[in-house]
Amino acid sequence: MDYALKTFDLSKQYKKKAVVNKVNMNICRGDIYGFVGENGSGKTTIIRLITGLISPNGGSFELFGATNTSPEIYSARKKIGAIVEAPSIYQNMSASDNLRMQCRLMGINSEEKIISTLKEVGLEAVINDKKHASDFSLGMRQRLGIAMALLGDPEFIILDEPMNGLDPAGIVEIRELILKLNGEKNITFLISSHILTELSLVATKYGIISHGQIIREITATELRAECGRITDIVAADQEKLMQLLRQSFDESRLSYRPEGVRINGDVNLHSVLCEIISSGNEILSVKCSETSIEDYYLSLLGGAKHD
Amino acid sequence: MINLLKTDLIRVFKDKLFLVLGIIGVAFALFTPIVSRILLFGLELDPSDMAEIVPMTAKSMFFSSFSLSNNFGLIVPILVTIILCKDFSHGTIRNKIICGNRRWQIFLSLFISGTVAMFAAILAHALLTLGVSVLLFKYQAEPFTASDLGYFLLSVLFEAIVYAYVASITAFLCAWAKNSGVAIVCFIAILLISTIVGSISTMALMLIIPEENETAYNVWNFLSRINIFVNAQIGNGRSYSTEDVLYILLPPLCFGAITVLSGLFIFNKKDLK
Repeated sequence: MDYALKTFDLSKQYKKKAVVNKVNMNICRGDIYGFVGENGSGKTTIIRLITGLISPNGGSFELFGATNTSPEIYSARKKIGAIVEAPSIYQNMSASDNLRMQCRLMGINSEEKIISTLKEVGLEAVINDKKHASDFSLGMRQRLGIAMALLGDPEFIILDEPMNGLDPAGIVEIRELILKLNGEKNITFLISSHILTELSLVATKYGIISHGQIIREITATELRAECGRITDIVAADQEKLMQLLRQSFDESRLSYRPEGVRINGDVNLHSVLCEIISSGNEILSVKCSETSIEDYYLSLLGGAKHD
Repeated sequence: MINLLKTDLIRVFKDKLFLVLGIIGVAFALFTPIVSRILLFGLELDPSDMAEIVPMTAKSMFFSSFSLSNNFGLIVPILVTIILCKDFSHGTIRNKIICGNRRWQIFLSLFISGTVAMFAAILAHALLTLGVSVLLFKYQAEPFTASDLGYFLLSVLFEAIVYAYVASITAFLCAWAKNSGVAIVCFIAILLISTIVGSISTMALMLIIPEENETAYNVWNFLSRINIFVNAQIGNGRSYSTEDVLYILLPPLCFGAITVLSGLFIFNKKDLK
């Protein structure tokens, strides 16, 4: 497996308080990694650690195979583009001048690149505009920040709350841009967000973080299997019920729960119930419900808080 | 490193505050010699009459323009500190780190661009002051010779070294405080303490008779001469002795090296938001 980022027990403490606690993340090349967690869970701190803005107190990480303590990390960082918390832009400069500054910093000398990048993020209206970034709306600044992250043709883009301040049309544009860049150029993304439904439209993998710890890493396919329709069946002989269901369903869709034996996903309830009855087992209760991604996330957080 | 330096220099020189600095510099360069001339004219004095009290020559005006206790000499580091600190307040310092630059390169670029900006501003101001002053006063009481040109150029080089030291302090304060307000307050505090120490040492030198208390005199003399913020050893003669050169060069070079190394150390360890 070719990894863009791998962390090994990555930890960060502030005044003896663990903000990031032994985090192990694996982001493969080409992934769109949705980074989910409540406020103060440590998402931005992890992004700061990866981008080199802060140093870890413990653990390590590898960026494109380069360890964070090795000199190669500086070349690896050249492959990333990032927005950390708020877009880092020169407030007293126009959008084009901001990109020119970023080009200078990266040693890129192309006016065409500036124009195409501004067009790519939907800022074509300000290409020749002298208006300073300080006069931009929050959404425009966000787009400009994304444009700056895209400038050096990065292989890995880290976006911390990229949808903040964007209007619905802007959210759709950025989402399409992410999917386009990922599809066409195989660019890896790490996107942190609170808006789970929005993330679910792009993410191929999720990292769910709570209190500085990754409580679950899950692929979008696995998540879809765990969410959606669920059927909890309680029978007089649970073991016998499970054995019967294993003959009809994939193991990954079945689990023991306090509510009974759970079947994830769509079920032909009539035929399942007929099979159970004909096997001689007594059905005590059947409950069908739907789980949204939010429900799943909240149930995970509930579990994490419980732990 | 070159890309970083280019970016920083363009950022500093394109900043509106730098334009404001230029306007203030021009105003002071015109104002100071003209007002001095008017005052002398009002008092019906010839500049040569003042020579023993305050040497009223274009040369003295030029070199006093560099003084850090002058109005413009104080404004330059303050405004340049604000400009340098914008990288931290706007968060654009993050772009430099994310781009794969090493922290020492970022700090050195901050220091070098600060030095260039400060010295460019003060030199332009001093040259304009000189230009206006030579129209109103003589360059110096004695005729200008080739050795005076050498002395002039050497003095300008010494001033550049002093301003590099000042820039090292501002770069250190920016990296440490990450905030222009705190950096400026600290810079003014350093300047104030140095000025007070300088005044005390000057007073002590006036009170102590060298023959009676040679050790105390030497200590105060040393403290006075290494005080970069108050001493005016540069440009007040026609040649430099070896002792002069050592007193002019060693304090800014030693203190500057210490400040730069401390800045590099602090910035290397600093967590950035």
